[in-house]
Formats: sequence, structure tokens, C-alpha cells
Amino acid sequence: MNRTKLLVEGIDVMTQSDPSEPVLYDLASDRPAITRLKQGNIAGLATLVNKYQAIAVHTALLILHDRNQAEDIAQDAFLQAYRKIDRFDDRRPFQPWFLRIVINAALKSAYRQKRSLPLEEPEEGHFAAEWLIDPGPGPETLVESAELRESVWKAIGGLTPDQRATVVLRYFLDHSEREMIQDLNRPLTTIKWWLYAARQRLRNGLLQGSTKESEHQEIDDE
Amino acid sequence: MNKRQMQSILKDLTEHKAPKAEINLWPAIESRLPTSEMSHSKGTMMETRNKLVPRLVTAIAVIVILGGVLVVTTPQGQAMAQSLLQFFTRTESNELPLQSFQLTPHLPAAGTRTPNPASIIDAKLEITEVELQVGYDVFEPSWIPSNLTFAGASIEDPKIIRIFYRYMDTNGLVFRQEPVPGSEDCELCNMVGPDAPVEEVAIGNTTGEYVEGVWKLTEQGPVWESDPYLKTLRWQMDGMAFELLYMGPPDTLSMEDMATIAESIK
Repeated sequence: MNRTKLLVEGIDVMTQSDPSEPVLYDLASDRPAITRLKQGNIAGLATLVNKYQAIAVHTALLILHDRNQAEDIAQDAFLQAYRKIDRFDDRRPFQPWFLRIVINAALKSAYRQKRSLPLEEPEEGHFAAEWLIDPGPGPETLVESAELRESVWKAIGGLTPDQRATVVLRYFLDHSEREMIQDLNRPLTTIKWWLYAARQRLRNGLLQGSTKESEHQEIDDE
Repeated sequence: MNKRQMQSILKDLTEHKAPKAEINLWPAIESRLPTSEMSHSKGTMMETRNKLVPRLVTAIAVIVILGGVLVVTTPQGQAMAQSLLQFFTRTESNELPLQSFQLTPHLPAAGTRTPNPASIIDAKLEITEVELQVGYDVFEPSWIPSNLTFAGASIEDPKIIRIFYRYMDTNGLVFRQEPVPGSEDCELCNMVGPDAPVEEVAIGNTTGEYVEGVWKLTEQGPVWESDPYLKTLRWQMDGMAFELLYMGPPDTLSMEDMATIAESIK
């Protein structure tokens, strides 16, 4: 298995073991709840809500950048899943099927509002960009940094909804590019382009304020 | 930054912006569930309703109705006397004929509603009020798991007493008691499918019987279905017949918990 590495003008943005490697899901643990729900038992829905509400809200939050809207979208998605559960093949994992509903709903909502936050210059961009370039400091200490968190938050806010969705799918949910084709119902070339553009804009957002010039080469994700 | 680090940042970021501990969508989702859609699209099931209060009401009420109608009015009722366990009766088949009440369900007139003592909605009495009305000490559990809260009690007929405990908003436990011999108005409560695993459970010096399952009401008639979401424990003690009926996620109340509740009854 080739470990591929992507350098976007010097920033080793994200390394993945294999872009086509699917995430493993625990099929068995959701099956009882899904069976209950298919039988019309809302206790099954309650179980699924309890298990997936956080990831649903967090996924929508990254796309919408608004917690209240994210919770609304997550609620809608659960209700949609409830109505569509008869169409769900329970030999397949529930999470990607459900999060696809969340992502599509969040994207629709984002486009409806035409909400794409302006690319603000993060005050701590220099700090964040330095860390992004220098892999020396471990994430364990930096990840808790409020400055870094806010820089990434602002940088993500500068992305278009599509780009945010690709970031969420690829780096938050750990979906493979193959899965992303299904998630977003777009061809691989589009997925790759969105990912590339998202990384570029993230990099630019995080580098704003920094005087560092990139001198690094770019290597294809593949 | 590698992918894992980015993932770590995003997880930290989302947790900071919307802490998991603060996310509780269920009350809002439950309130938005259409009350008619499920029964329309899935058929009627005793244990499945859109909201719990209605679900518990429906479950218990239908059990009562179904029991009465089935046993009293159908030949299968007499046939079910076969394969008698101590507190449950096995039917010969998992599928029963369509019941008359399924064809002509009783619908209350709009705007009117008769209080139903088998309903958690109408279980508004405190235990002391129940005791005053029946004139004797009511048995009640001295131990209840912390995830269950007392919701109210009701009197029926006037020998049957039910005490309701709510689990979150959507499920609950019903403790039923009546003097032996029990009434015949809820025979289906005793009935289980031919394959239903009925387990003996030690309750102090006596033995009760425990089963998981429910009669699902289909368009073709009642069908017995093993279901860990609906648990029943029955036993007798001190001249009284007791039943604990729990509806909820299986891991929220085990058979052992129910036996402990039963043993704590005073």
C-alpha cells in the first residue's frame, strides 16, 4: 500500500494511508435499533439519535458554521431517516447512509442562504501556519489551543459549502474518495478538484498574516 | 499536518463549538414525529407508538382489549388453554386470525375521551390516594433503578392497580397488581407464542416467569414476535398476582433488574 502525501505549496496538509480505503463500521451494533425502527418502534429511532446526534450536529456545524442551524439540520435528518428507513438496506452500515442525509441537507441549507463567510484574516494565522508547516510540535498540545482552533474555524468558514463538505467528509469523517463520490453524487474528478481547492483555500486562510512564502512543491494526492 | 492531526483539530473544534454533552435532539425530534404516519404505514403494533405516553397507553390498552376479545370470543381462546405454564399460556401458533376488534376499532368521538386506567396519561394518583380508595396497603417496589421515575398510579375495576414509572420520555415500566384469582379481562397478557422462551425467575421464596415479546397486530391478525423491547415478569405472592411490564431499550432494564424490583416489593 502506497502511503501518499500531499504537499500543497509546502504544507503537508493531510496524509492518508490509502484514498480508496473505506472506513470500517460496526454493522452489528446498529442492527437491533434499525430493525426496531423498521417495525415501527420509535425506541429504535431514539437509540440511533442517542448514538449519532453528536456526529450529525458536528458534521452539519462544520458545513453551516452555525450551531442552531446544525441542530435543526440534524433533527431534520433524523426525521428523514425515520421516513426513509424502509428503503435502507440494513446489510449496509447506517452511519454513512445517515450522514449523507445530513450533509446533503446542510449543503442545501448553506446554498439556500448563499452563506459563505468572508475569508477573514485570522489573528493567529501566523501561528497556525507555522505549525502546519513545521510538523515538529505534536498535535496533542497544540490541538487544544484556542488560537489554532479559531484559526481553523475561520479558515473553514472561508470555504464554499462544497469545499467544506469535502473537508468534512475527507478529514472529519475519514471517508475515502470512493465513498465521497457516493456521498456527494459527483464524479471523482470533481471530488478531487473540490478537495484541492479546499486545501488551497485552507492553506491561504491559515497563512494569511504570515510572511512566509511557500517554496515547496505540490504532490498529487494519488 | 497530516490527516490524523487535521481530524484531531476538527474533532476538538466541533466539540468546543457544540459539546456532545449539550446535544440532546430527542425531545425536539420526538415532538415532531407525525402521530399518524407510523400507524398508517407500518400497521398497528402494541409496543410501537410515536410518543411514549401514547405508546404505553396503546400497548397496555390494546393488550387489555385484545386479551378480552380474543379469549372470550374466539375458539382459539379455548385452544390456548393448552400448554399452560404457571403464569403464561402458549398458543399453538405464532399467528392468530384477524380479530373482530381489528376490523371495527373503537374510536372515541371527537373531543371526548374516557379515562383509561391502563394509560399512563390517566395514572394521576399518588400511592397514598390509591390506598385510600382501595382500603388496603398497596404493594410497591422499595427499589427502582435510578433511570426510572414514578409517573403516577391508577385503579381499575376496582381490584387492579397499576403504578407507572417513566424511562426518559419515551418508555416505561408498569407494575400491576390484583388479588388472586386474577380477572379475565386481559388474558392475552398471559399468552405467548409457541416458541417464546419463557424463563423461570427466582423472586424471594417464589418463582416467577419472564418473557420478551409482543403480539404484533397485523392486517392478517395478531402475530407473536419475540422482542427484547417488551419484557414481562409475572409472579404471585401473598394472595396477589403481580406483573412488571417494561417497554424500552433492552439494555436499560434487564431481567435481573426486574427480578430485583420484584423482590423489593413490600
